[in-house]
Amino acid sequence: MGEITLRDAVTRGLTEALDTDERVFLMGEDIGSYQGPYAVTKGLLEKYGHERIKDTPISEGVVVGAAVGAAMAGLRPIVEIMTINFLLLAMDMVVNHAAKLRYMSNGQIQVPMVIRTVTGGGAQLGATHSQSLEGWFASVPGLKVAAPSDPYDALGLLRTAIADEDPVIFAEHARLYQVRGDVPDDYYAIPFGQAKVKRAGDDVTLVAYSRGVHTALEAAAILEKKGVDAEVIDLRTLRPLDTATVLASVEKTNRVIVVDEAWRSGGFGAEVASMIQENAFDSLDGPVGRVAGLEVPAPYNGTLEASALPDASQIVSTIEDIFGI
Amino acid sequence: MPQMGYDMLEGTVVRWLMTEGSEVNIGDALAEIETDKAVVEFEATEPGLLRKILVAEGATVPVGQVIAIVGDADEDISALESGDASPAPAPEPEPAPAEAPSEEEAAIPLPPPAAAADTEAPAAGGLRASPVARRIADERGIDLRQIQGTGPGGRVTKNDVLNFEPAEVPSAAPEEPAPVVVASSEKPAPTPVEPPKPVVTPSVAAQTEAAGELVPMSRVRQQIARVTAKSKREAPHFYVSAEIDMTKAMDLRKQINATLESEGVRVSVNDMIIRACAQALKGFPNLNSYYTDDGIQMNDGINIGIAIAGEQGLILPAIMESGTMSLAEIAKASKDLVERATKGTLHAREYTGGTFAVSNLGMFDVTSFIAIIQPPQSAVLAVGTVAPRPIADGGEIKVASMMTATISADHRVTDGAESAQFLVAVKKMLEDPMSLLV
Amino acid sequence: MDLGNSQAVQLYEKMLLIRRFEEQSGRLYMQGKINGFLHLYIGEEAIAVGAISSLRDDDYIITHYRDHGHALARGVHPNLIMAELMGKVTGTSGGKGGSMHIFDVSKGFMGGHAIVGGQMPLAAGLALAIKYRGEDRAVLCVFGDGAVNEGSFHETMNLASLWKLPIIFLLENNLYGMGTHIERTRAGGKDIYLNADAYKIPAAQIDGMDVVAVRDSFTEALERIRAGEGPVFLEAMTYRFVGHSLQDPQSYRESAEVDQWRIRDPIDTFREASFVDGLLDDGQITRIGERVDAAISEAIAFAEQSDEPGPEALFENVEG
Repeated sequence: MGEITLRDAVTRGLTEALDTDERVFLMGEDIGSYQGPYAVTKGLLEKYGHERIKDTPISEGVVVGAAVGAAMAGLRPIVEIMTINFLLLAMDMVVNHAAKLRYMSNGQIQVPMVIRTVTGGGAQLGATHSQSLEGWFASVPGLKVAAPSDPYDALGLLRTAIADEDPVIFAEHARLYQVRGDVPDDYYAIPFGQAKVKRAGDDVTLVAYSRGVHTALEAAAILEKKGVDAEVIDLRTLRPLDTATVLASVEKTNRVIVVDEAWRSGGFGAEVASMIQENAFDSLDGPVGRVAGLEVPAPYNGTLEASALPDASQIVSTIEDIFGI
Repeated sequence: MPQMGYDMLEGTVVRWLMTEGSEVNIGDALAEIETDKAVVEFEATEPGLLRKILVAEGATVPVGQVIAIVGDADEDISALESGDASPAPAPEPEPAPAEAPSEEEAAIPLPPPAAAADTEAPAAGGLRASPVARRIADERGIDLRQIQGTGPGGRVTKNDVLNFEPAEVPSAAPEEPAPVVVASSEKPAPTPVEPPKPVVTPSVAAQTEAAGELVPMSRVRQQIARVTAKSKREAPHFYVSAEIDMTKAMDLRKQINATLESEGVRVSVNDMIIRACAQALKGFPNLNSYYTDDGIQMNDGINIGIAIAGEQGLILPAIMESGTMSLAEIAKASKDLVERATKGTLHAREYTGGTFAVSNLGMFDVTSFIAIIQPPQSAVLAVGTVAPRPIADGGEIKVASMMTATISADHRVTDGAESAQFLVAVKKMLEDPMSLLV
Repeated sequence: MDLGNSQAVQLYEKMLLIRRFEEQSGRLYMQGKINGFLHLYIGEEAIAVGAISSLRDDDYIITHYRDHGHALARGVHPNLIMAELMGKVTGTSGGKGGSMHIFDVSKGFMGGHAIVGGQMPLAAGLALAIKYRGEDRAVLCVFGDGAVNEGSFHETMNLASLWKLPIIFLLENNLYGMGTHIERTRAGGKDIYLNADAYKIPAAQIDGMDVVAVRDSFTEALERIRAGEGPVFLEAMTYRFVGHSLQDPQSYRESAEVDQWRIRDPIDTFREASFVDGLLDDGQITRIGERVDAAISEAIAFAEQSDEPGPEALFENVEG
């Protein structure tokens, strides 16, 4: 298939699942007649009909809850929640129900469902539409959280998500839909819990996911000019978290910066940082650095908003500040 | 404690030259400070009253620690006297190494010269070292206090430890080859279970039965070891040599010395070389610069360092502003420098301020040698003895007073062609020595 | 009563089993053998038994946290439920669910759920799966009057009606959400079934103390649901004779009010009516009582003799 956008990669994953598994159906706000708020489901209603491409009321709680129920009954629903901000309206369904049923029923019930949602800021959508909340879900046992950074990963992770027997939060970054990349025609899937070394380096490790990977790669290019060889790790899934790849890199570079678009306090980056110091303390050449979103609601103004989000120069200067390199 | 060298870690207050309450002007010598290399005068950088002396004579404290307070008579200095800027603890004249080892250190005897008390102390006033630096130092038996930290806040980093050339070589070769070899690829090699060898064991002792006496290194020796090793590691050296006909220069020197004898001035060959270099450098500023990660730092003045072999080792103080000095002035200045170096009363700026260096082993009847650049400089000229040698002069063989000069230069700031041109400029001046007088 | 003898035996025996099970559970709680939360169904037995006896085996049931009665009515074995209450490895969820989370998927019993109203969207999903597959099964969704002011209640009612989902909404209105009376929490008070009209769902208020009335209403509602005409809403008026949970001091209600409702005890009234109608005789009543007591004794013995879950159970079934 060659080079496609991340959006196309997700669409391809959905189409493939609809074609091959009768149990798969899609549910969400404006995914059918409107063709999808982010056009990921464009054309699917015409192809698969209303029974499998279900436009729902703006009613996130029951939409997610109905998906949980359908999954309990053996179907494999894929829900689209327009943005992760709206997923808060279904928090009870995700956290108290989807994540708990397998455990509370001691395995009698499985909840094989995917919640596709759009995360991240940077598009001047204001405070309630610009959050990166995937880390919240990643703290819940019973959930799985994937956050791809490129088309190849998006398709490979989506295949795994749909095939998974547990609820998966699949966080697609709003600013990455146009990212292009090679996606092979041959089937492949990316197992959860396998981070990817996007760029090998010896001097400092940058741990990121989703859009943060691009920010980290940008920083690595700047660092290269300064003679600093950065290794960039894309976590790909927040839960399960591939600690081994991160720790192996830290053992090598002895320096690490965690990049996270979410707020610093209690953000997923904090979890990664904590994990590193717990497991690799004696390999560290300085504190685990964090570059994260500033502690403010996202402002509408573009300049203000940009200043609240991590960028490459912050990564570079953080490395200078912490490690003096 | 003033930093009197780019790699100075700590200093000892030898003597206070002023008493509390004295009026202090900029440039006044406040105290004599002993660094790794020499005793230098610490000159005031701010005017005022010497309100309080916080570090007693004989005490050794890290660079950056407040040792005295200079201020206005009515200024509130209470905050400086206590809290974060607290003075060094009461001086402990070189505590015996094993007296108070921390838990981690207990199994690893430390080299004798170091004070043991605060190795593992937390950052406040103590040594800052990264976890991996501590681990590697521990594994290699390196005393972290011997290492100048280059990280933020002087933190000793991994590279600092890896680049460190220990004063006493720790037991390098483990007697039992072991767990390291079979370590799994997933995990770092486990620490060998056998107790670490005492660091005072020289490496040869681990390899041969006939170990000789272990001679502790002087601080100067340690410093030389560290600086030269670091320079050779970091600065890519290259070398350019030239034969210089010193016949005319030697003749001129005789004439000058005869003229200046009444003034008590005596020009040496080395002074002429310094003069030649100082003049030539004006046309080759790159050789009067030094490399930084951000760019090549040019030096405004030309301060030529001269290698002086003392009893404890080599030092390289500079003749400040050599570029503006006449040959006679250089001769006077170099004589003064050697005298003061012997007495240990060099100024800090002379110690750190060199921008180029000349090293002369002519007195030892050697033809040529290669010198190591002293950071933060980027070139050094090494000259051998001046001796009569046959040369080809316009198709005829004749005997001339020849000298071999070899420049070592840092390839990060200059190239062979430039260095060659510089060397030729020096050569021309020495071969046409009248130019040294104008 | 339009009931056969064997049906009367079944209804009575189920109700009595629930009553005795709950009474014994309360005692075991006092002894510290059951812990955590324990919500008893005493007084409301006619609803579970009347409703569930009308279902087919392939219908789904999903309910709230006061769930022992529904599980027993569905035929989940008392041994397994009691073991679960005691946190034993032999319990319905291996001791990891507890009183509020009884599951038996083999019986279509899709759980007690402990977030008020939380089971309702799940019921919509179960029904959606049925509809997706073109089946004529139904979902019994049980909830209390406390749930009706939750967003999930309204969202589910809308979606179920909109998509004509095969759900029978069974509201057990015992008048109190924990300790606060319905008149103080809902505009319009107790007649909640009127809400259904807003969502164009056929609804009725029924007597939750009368097992036969519940059963008859259900039979009628299920016909409509299986015909694909969408959900039905039934509000069963009832009363719990004991506190909300074992921690409840019941300071919010007069004992006289409890006594008035106790006069209408669903088990006593059914036994007496059946006796009068000749559906149950003294001998049957005695034998039923003995069978129930034996079953409860066996359940307690089974649970007490069962093992605690081992440490290996801790991480089992967090994910697949």
